[in-house]
Amino acid sequence: MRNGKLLVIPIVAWLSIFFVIPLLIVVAVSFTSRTAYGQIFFQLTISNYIHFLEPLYLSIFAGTLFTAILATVLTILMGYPLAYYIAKLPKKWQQPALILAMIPFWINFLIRSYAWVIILRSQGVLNTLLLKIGIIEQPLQLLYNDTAVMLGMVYALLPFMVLPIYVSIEQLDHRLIEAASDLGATPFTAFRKITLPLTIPGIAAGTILVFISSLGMFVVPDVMGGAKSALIGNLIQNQFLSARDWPFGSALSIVLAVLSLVLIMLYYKALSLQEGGARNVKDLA
Amino acid sequence: MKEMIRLQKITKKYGDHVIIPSMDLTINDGEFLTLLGPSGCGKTTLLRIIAGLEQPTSGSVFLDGEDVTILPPYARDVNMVFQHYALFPHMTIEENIHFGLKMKNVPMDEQRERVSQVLYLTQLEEMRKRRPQQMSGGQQQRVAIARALVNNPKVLLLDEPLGALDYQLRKNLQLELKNLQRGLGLTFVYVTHDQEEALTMSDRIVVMNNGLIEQDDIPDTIYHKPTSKFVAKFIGESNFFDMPDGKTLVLRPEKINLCPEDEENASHPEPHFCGTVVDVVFYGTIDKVFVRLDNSNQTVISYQYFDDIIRWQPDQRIGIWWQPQDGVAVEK
Repeated sequence: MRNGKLLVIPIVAWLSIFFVIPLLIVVAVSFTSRTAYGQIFFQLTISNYIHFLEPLYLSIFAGTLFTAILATVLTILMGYPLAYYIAKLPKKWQQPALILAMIPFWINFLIRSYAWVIILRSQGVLNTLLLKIGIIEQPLQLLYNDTAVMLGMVYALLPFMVLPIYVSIEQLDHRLIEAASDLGATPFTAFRKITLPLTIPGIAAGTILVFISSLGMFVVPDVMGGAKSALIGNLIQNQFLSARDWPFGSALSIVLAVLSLVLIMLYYKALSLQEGGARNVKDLA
Repeated sequence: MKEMIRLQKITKKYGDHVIIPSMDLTINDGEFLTLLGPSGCGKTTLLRIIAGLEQPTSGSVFLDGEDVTILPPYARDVNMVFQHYALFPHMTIEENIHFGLKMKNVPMDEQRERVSQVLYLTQLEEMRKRRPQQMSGGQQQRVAIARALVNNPKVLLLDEPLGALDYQLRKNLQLELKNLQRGLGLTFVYVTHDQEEALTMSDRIVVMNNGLIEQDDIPDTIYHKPTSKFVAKFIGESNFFDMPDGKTLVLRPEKINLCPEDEENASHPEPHFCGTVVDVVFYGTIDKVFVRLDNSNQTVISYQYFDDIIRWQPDQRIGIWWQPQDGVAVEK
């Protein structure tokens, strides 16, 4: 082929038809209103966005944000040590260890969530075990609360954090650690001054993946959360499937998307301002 | 002379693989000592053992009279210039150089003063705010040296520091390094596989092979009086002749003289061998003349300078001769 640019036509066409056009439809629908029977009534209005500003929805939104941030922080705190441990394993054990971390992905996410229900419910595996051993006398309420939702989200999203961090630690030039040690840095200081700053790109990538996924999460709160644990994802799902208010659902989706985008931009800006942060990502490449 | 480093019965094994069978070596204060050998000879391992980056399987390392064998690298008063510099990419040049002083909690005023000093010494003052990735190989090399020197180590360890640079720059930096070492009077332990580099810079060369010391002497002696065939082969070019007593005679190409086969009334000794010129290769300051000997079919190399009266031609019949004192007998 004389012109290599022609090769991108299929993917441009694919994205245009299945991504850009639906997105534009959602934007358009968010500015319409609905009829009493749930049909879309084409009349330009911003009433859906005003509707969103009601305290009920704002608090769900704030709760979702808080949940997403907490889930991201927890996956970093748990994912970094795991990724570090895997990256420091002998070469031949790294691949098997990564596959072990990935195996849950081979099973449908919904089914995995139900597996947690089986473990955590009143007559579930965990409660039965604790009762048998005699640690507790009454079954604990482990399911249908915010803690259960957080557990399910961290469980589901941990691999997204582990993989990019693993890659950044694995690529780190070991001689830099030796140099730090040679210059008088104890192992802990060398980690703090060299390893951690140079693996921030991995943490940043993992944060984006986990944070966005948790913002839109609706399966986990649906299956493992109580009625109070509704997140913005559940709200949107309800507008489309139960309430049949597509215009409002669309508006919520747009607000969520724009907010994610703004937060990510702020996040990268903060990283690049910070000494030893993402500015070096470009330098390192 | 004061002793700075003493290696005592050092051995290093990885499982069944022996890198260093047993090594005793003393390095004096202020000495420029080069560990020279082919890759895999154990020279880098030895350097890393001195730095504390590797633990010897057995034996002891003494630094300035103190047994440091079990001390981790960060507790040893030596600093290393790494092969590919290992500069911290997320820090400026200045921050890289400050690192060691910060680790030792040197007061900030003194830190600034010492950093300025090494920046001046290595001519890096204008680049203090740059990052390593924005610098050329030669400049990065200077930063690596400055980062080590600023700590006033008792010994500077250098692991093939010029290996990644091009020829001309390497030549310049060799002299710079040598001058720096002389000026500071600091002990340098320098690892290289480049024999020319070793001869140019060192006060003393330790030639290593398979984890053992082949020869330990000043460059002049290493070059002119090699004690083994390995050293003669590894350092410079050599011609080898089997001798009746079972030994091998080593002759450097510049010691091999040529004369016409039918020369009469010559003032020099009788030719040892006769042969035919097979090739003459131009090398700038010299011609390398390749001569095939009649009796053994062996090819001998001789260096001929341009101001010689005769330029030799292929297929020419010639005799070769040398002064008896120029040949060195070594074990086969």
